[in-house]
Amino acid sequence: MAAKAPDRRRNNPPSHGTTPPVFLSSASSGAVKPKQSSRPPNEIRKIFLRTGLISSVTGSSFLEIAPLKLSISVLGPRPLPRTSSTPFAAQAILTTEVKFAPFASTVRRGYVRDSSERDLGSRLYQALVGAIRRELYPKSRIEVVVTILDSEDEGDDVNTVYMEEGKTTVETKFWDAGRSERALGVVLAGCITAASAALADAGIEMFDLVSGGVATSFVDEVGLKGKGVGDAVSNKLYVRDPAIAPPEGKVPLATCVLGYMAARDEISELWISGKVGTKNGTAEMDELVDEAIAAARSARGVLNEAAKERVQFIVDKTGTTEPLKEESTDVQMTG
Amino acid sequence: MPPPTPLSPPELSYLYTSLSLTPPIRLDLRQPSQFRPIIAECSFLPHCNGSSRICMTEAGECIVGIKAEVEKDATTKYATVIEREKWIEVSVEVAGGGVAGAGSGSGGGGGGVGIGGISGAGGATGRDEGDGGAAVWLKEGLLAGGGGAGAGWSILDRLVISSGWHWKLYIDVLLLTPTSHPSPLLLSTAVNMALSSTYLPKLTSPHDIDDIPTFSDDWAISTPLYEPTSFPKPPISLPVVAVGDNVFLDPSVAEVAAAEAGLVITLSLVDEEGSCDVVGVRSMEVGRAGGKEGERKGIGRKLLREMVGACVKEAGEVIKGLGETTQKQMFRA
Amino acid sequence: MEGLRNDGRRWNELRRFHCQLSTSSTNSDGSSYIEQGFTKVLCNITGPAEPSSRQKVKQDSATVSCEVYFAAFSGTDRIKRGRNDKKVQELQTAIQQTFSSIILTHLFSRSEIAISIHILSQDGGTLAACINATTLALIDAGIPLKDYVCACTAGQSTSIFDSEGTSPDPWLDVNYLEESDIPSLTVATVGDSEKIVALTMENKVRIERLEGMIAVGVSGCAKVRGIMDKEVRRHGKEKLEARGE
Repeated sequence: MAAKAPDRRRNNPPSHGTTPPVFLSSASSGAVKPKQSSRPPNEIRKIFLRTGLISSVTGSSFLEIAPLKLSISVLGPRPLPRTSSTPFAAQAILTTEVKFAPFASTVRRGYVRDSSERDLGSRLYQALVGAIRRELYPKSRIEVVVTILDSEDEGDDVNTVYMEEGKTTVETKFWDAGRSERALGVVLAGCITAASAALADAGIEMFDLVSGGVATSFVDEVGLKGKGVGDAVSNKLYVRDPAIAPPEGKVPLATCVLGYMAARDEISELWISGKVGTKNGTAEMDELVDEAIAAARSARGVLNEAAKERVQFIVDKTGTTEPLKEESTDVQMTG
Repeated sequence: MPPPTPLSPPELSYLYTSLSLTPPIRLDLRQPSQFRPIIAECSFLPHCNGSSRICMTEAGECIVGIKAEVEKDATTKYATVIEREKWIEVSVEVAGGGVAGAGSGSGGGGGGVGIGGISGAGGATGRDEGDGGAAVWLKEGLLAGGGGAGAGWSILDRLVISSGWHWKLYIDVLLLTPTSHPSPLLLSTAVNMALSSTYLPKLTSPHDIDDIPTFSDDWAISTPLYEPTSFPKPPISLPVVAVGDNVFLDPSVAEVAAAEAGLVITLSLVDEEGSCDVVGVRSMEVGRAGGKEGERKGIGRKLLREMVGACVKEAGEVIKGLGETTQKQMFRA
Repeated sequence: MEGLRNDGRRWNELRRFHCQLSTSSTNSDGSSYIEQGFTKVLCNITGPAEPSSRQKVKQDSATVSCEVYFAAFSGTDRIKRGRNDKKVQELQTAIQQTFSSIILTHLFSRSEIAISIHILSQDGGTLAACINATTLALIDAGIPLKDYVCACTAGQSTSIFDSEGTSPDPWLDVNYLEESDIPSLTVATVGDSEKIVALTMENKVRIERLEGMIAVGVSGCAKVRGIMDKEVRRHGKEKLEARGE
């Protein structure tokens, strides 16, 4: 950026800007570390999933996996606009949009979608597109709109640096890397599960429900300086549905997020980030993927229940499964 | 939206049958793990710290220029990890833009190989990025590939100049072939080569002083960003598709349209023997136009193992070959 | 060293001029690549083809449209220029107007000829390099032109007398450092004649110096034409030989 001409009419602030002061949360005890949860690594957090909350759209769902809260609306199948710019579509066109509400994280996000939200949108598309029976809805569009109301901020601890007392230099702790992938991974897994519920609520036919699962592999912090992953201690800790802060003394290696169709035993969407060694061929990757699939299976249980609940609700509301008989008000013509 | 399908349904069905045979027959008679030849050159732009140009048969031409600018750290004593990740900015520009092309159909270019579906139907619900979100996964591979997760080395460490100052690396990718689905192989190879041939000027002021750092004008003593003898190297992304029980590397546009499942696997070289670490896996949108309805809607675990295994086997040689080409052409071998 | 410029050239010497045709034959109808010193420019031509929008349809002649892209890494500083950047629009208009009069557009009614220019490296003489690249690309695309359009820059040192006591000679083909230092102009001529089809200057210069600058620029254009013509003929011969003729 070219340097601006100095403004001589005013008393100017420092030319390169200032940074706000950063305070440690508690001066006496040093830095406060976040509370580590007591959840066992192979257990996912409790999921609250309810469908049919928004009446103005075809299908909707609300998912909460503390602290993540998101709301999904499904619109469609609606006819495609018949202008000349939209070509004929023999199968339904699926559109997915993911947006964090501006108040969803500690740092306010804007109203315009940024690249990470667009990326999540295309990941979600990839997860759902294979599962929907698009050929049943030609010349139509199906829109899935996700709004994330509250999320565990990927940068929540960004201004708290765990400085050791008495040290003049700070080593950047490697445990912090991969944090945004873990955060977005948890969000994506939730979106996939909730989107399937919303699609089921909308009555759109699918080959199978897709549930989302996420798992991260960790190793001990100590044994890793300068070596490739293959040389590292093979005691890996796999955590399903990881929280943002890693477990005590552990460094994250890789995160796997997937969309899994349990009945067909197929993965519709796969996203692995971080480092996966290949010294044993694909064994390391297999382990990570298996953990994520197990997480997705657990989520599938909740998804099935939510779908069943909805069907039950509709049945109860109409009172009976038989069609209603109406008194005929037609006039009989005689003569 | 999946990448544009250049073939008609009977052609796709024929291609599907041909690719699912044992052994499979590809249209250009390549082996399943054979790559197409590329033209690659580097270090030709005088204003850039590193540059490269890659031409591939179908995917087109791509030029990458890397510029490094001195920047002050956002906070004076330390930079948190989130801020450090902003030290690298990747930008992908597609020639011809995404806008004008949509209306007149794919007049100019053949579609490149697609990566991850781009949501949105013809721009009706908000405009999507013309580059298919390429900048996001390129940067992801770069940060992960450097061992950001605890292997003791990160490219971000190489960007630290002195206390309070760092290099901001701008990676500008110029895709000369208009397409809505840039090929991951093309882009990542170009970025890989440009990074391997990037030099940063040598620091002449002392490390621990807070003033603006000064550098030597002599490029003969400049330091490469990636030392030629050190590992890991910058990553490359290999697309792989599956048709029936067969797995194919470097798929052509037609093969992607007929495929049932696709992945893009990002790998980086970790030692001289050619073993690689997987630093990223993403699903790739494929046409699924060849097979029968109701079959395979996703990737089973056995297939996943095969696809990743095929990539891992071949990747070492590909990256080493690329490295050798870069070494020959760098302005200071 | 007396009389030499900062890069060792004399006042009437062109920088190293390198040009290539058909650099991306799969992608466009005509293409070219030009290097003038460190200024590197790529040009692609698409057309004549159906216009991309209805507004561009002209009943009796072809529409010539031009798009210029500055790569973010092309200058000393990294700058990303949008479509509405002033410099981009000026270049686009200049090239479009120049070539609308040179291309035989009456032969292709209701069509569009799209010129797409990528500037990979800037070191002075950007407009000149773009015009030269466009000429070559149009020739490669086989689009009929009245003649070559060759462009060159000329600069004039602002001192009244030089070391020998006479008025200083204008400098041919200025680079970036010279362009920022002294006034300069870009001139483009048609073919062998000294007819000027484009002339641009954005600085102030004494009026009696102007004719000298233009004369030097025009002579530079003639040199450029010679080099370009040689390359076109060589490329054509190579193509014919490849086809076995």
